[in-house]
Amino acid sequence: MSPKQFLEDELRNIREALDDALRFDYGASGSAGFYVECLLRHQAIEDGLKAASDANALYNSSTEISYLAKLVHKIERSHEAEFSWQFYHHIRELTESLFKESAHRHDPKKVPIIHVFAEGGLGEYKIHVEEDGEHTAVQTQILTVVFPRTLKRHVLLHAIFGHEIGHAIRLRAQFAKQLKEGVTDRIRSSGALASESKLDAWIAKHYQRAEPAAAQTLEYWADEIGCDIFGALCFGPSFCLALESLLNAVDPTQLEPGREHPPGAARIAIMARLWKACGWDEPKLYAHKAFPKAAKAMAAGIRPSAQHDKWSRELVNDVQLNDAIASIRTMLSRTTIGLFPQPKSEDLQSMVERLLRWVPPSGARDVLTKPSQRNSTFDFRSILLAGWYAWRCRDELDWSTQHRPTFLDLSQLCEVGMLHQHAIRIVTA
Amino acid sequence: MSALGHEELVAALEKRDLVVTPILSAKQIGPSTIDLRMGTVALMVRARGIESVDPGSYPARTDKRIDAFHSDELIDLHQSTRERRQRFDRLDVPFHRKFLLHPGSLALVPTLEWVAIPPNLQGVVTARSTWAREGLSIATATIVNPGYRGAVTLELANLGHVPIKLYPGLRIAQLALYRIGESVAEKFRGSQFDSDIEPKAGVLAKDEELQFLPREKVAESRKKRAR
Repeated sequence: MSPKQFLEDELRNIREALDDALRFDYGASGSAGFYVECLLRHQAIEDGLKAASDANALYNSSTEISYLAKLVHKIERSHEAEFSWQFYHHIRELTESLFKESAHRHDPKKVPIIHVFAEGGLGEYKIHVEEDGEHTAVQTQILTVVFPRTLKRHVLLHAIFGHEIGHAIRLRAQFAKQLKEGVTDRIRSSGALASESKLDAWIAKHYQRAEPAAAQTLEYWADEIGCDIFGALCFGPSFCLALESLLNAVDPTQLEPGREHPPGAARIAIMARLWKACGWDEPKLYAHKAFPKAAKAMAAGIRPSAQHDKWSRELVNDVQLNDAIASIRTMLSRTTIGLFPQPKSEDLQSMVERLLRWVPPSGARDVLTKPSQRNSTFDFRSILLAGWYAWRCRDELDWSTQHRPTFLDLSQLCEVGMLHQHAIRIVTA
Repeated sequence: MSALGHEELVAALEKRDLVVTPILSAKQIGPSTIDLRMGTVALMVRARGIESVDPGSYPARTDKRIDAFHSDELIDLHQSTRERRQRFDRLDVPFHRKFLLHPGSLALVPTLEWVAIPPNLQGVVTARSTWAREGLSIATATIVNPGYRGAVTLELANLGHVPIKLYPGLRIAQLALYRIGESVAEKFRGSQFDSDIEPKAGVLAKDEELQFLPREKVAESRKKRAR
């Protein structure tokens, strides 16, 4: 069999697999968009393969065929019931609002297809974006959102997607320049991330070992810190608390520096400083006459050790951090729903009160008997904040029952709250 | 036992003794009932997964450790877990997506509403008559216990001859509430379905009912439950 014949056969196999994948339901918005996109790509690859007359052209076809086969397999991994669809609904809205430009070659207003599936592993939160020009058969860009399978119901942790969105939007032309100049370059303008030699010295000082940093490490670390800042400004305090929880679980020492990631302790300490810089340490944001101690506990946020705080300042000083915050804030405030909307303290209180009674937090009123009584529409990030508030301040709060909710209980109550909020939005639209 | 009327239902909701949320329309609270909407999940019995519904075959899951690596025990564990997991297909039915209920089929569906019943009330779930007239039977298990909190599981069956299209958010059931003479919730807390977010299969025969099963079935069932 010639290589061309083999590839033609494989294209037929892919078509068969694509049709076979319709045995599953996948995607909260149905399978049509993803199926049609794969079908169009299949057709484009088929045309390319027909015309291929040399080894280079066949090589390109082979790469495209292999990628399409992987996409089709993603359908099978994506059949329903593997994630929190309510959270997915919001992540989809958020990413669509940030990615709505140039997702389609012939129609710049068309939004990308957002596909979702689960992977095993604690740190498997990811958003993969097809880069422009990465594959020639692309008709509409596909964003793949990956949840960790075992954490599918832990919506409070899903705030970490803010970081992944930060990575993903670097591939959008309208954000890339701002993020590079206003954030990454700023973080690398001084301190330990200013040069390889300075990072070498920083590692040698704190780890008593000589481990020369690669040029890429500087870039990766600055990117990671930039994406943490992005995530925090997009998801609010919930992001910082989710990041702290996940980093502690993945590396309980918090100290190990990676080639691509700065040590967890430094990242957490940067978030603690951002918390203050954003004014989230103000107890009045969380104040309630029924639980005064809780507001203080929530405002205290993250408390890194003095040593870790010092580390974080050596990587990014206050001026750099504030500049990066200002730059991302400006960028997000120009988008429809990008910037974290700080909930009114009375709205936050009402949601926390509901959680104390084991009632899902939402903007629903108890009854609607008078014309003045209306359900409110709360942003899903406010619901996450209420959930984290109840979890972080559980010892200071007055629960209605002896049995206090676990982290999973609170996550699930928040997930149901998001479902209720979705229904309220449908009715009030 | 007396049923709560409209004013009493509103008062109980306002006082937060009773929770039914979200109330999306004032019309949802009727003269003596509160309408309940279809939720966004459906569990369908998976006929190929099991040979029959057998009260002795569905042990409650325990997280007890397996002390010895007896292959028989491990194979039994695999078998019972597999049977339990394969009893239902779980379908997500997002808003605006239809769910087709065929004649003769049964689906477990949660209500959209989260409900918390106070210790001195008992809930009774019934079909709304408009749907019942189309053949939709709801809530074959009608009682919601005092102290219950969570979504209410509706057992939907199509008793008609044509398939019924259902959509999450439709008001298909109604909840009536009755006063009971004593507050009993705490004494009976910890029911297998308390704080349900979505439907799940129950344990058909409790330990105290096993003596009514054939002897060999009892031995087999006790062995599984002991794990």
